[in-house]
Amino acid sequence: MLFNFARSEAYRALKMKCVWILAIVLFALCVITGFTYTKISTFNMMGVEDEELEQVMEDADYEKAMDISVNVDANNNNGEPSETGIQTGVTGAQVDSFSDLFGEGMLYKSTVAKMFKMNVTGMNAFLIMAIFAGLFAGDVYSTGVNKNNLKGMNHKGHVLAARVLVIAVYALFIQILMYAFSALTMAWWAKSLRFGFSSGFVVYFLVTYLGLLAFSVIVFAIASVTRSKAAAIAVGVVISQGILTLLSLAVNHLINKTLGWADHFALSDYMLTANIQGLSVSDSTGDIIRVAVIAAIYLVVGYGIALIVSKKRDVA
Amino acid sequence: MEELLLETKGLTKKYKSVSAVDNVDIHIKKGSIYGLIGKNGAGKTTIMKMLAGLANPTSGSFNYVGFDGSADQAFARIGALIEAPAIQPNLSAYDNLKIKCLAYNIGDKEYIMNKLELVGLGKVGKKKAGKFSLGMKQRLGIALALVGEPDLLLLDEPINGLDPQGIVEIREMILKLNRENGITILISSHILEELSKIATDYAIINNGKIIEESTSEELKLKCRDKVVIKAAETSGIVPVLDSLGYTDYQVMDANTIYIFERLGETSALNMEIGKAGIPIDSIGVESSDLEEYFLKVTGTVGGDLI
Repeated sequence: MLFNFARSEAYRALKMKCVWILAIVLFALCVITGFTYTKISTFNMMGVEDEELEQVMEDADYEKAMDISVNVDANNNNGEPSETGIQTGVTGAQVDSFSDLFGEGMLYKSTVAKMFKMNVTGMNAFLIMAIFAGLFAGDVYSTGVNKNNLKGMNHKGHVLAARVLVIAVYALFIQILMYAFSALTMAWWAKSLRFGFSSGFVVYFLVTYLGLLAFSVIVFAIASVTRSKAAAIAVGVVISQGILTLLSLAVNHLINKTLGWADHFALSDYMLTANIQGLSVSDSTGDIIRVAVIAAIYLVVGYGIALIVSKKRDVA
Repeated sequence: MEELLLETKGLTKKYKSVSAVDNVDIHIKKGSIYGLIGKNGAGKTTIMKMLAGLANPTSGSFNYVGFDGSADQAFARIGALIEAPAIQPNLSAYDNLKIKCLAYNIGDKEYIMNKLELVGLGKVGKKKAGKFSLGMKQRLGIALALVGEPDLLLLDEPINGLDPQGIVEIREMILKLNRENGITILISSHILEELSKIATDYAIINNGKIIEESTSEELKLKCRDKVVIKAAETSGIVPVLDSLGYTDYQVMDANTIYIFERLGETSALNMEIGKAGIPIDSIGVESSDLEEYFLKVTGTVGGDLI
């Protein structure tokens, strides 16, 4: 029965125009992200000379380079050497030429894996899935399609599982598509195609997929509780765009102030999107497991809420 | 005795402290068209939702051809068009049916086309359901309800908002489904005159309670022009009627007799009963159609009905 319901739900999903439109939007987002990290010379803007940047990029990854540039930026008012020993001798004000903006970005000579990481960090897939899950689940309530499937009334768990299965498949499609678009944009903007494939990347791919699925199921659960696609999409977009993370910083500050927890407690440590954004291919096994567990908890909670609501509540 | 397809026992649905449906017992015979009559908010739709599994009863149960109402077999054998048709407006009629067919694991293209032909939508092609007229949407809703070859079809106000031609089309379709396909139908409608053209059985519901359950013949009898005699004891009146040559009359209960002939001789009849020494509470001619009858038994003023 689950298989039949899943086929029916998959057919319904495939007939939604948004399935293909969102794939195009993802492509556009990946192109923009690719351009930003390959063609915009962020380090030039921050005052790092090209030669110095090349040297840094040769023996360190872009994350370290980013750290260096931030340190440079912090110190470049007096032109003193930074902690890394790079003396720039320039200030932000000196970067006044428009041509400085373009050039080789921090990922120009990097790999597809790192470009994929930047797309994950940019929450591109999360934005896409917020819209898809909201529309897919919300359609059930706006059209009352449940009323047609009386066979599913005794198998509400199967109906729900079928829908989550479709969301899981689409999330995987989006994740794979994002990798393909990352490769495409590297080939397009950086004129090179080094995949940087490793076992660490496979784990990273799977854990971020788990996070994406958990997020999608949360959006699905919001649609189920509110019976509104608008509410689900709005909350999903807010979360995916980091607005909730900003709010969490404020809440975190209040908690630390009122409870006197000093700064040991960080709400963002328990937030799904913050954890996914903070994850990198080179993270320790412990960190990866922690993120995977957090994603799994969100997934179970989201699914559980949707299941309880659908079983307890009348369909119409 | 005719075979029952479905019966409810004390079916009740409460929303907080309000009873939408209160201890309802109805008996739907196989092959019948069962009309559910009631004003807005009487509980008709809630009963249908419970029978379809869309709403959980607070208490009570329903039995469906020997199976308990919660069994898989029951819901798989029911088709429903409750409130508005549940259609995907951006999809064609074919695709709307395909979604349900896949869930039920039945049917191919021919099966779907047959269903569309059956409801007169065989030639709509790829036109999106959202652009259908109200009547076409209702027919698509019925086609969706027919997927899975249901034994029982629940139709909640299927002719609401339709123009006269649409009403006739839906009526003919319902009769065809009942007579040619043998589908038992539970139908509710505000348009009692229309309902009276197709229903074989009726239940009148008011404030969540069934006031009366009767066959079409019984209801027609109650709606005919007649002399109604009310008395504390009617057994003594019958010999008087026989002696006066009355043949078309019916003892409804211990206190009521209906006479369907010689309606202009009420005064003479009154005198003869008086001469026999039988006290009567009232005697008079009553005439009503289904609508008037409904208003009378529910104690509803006309304006409340629609």
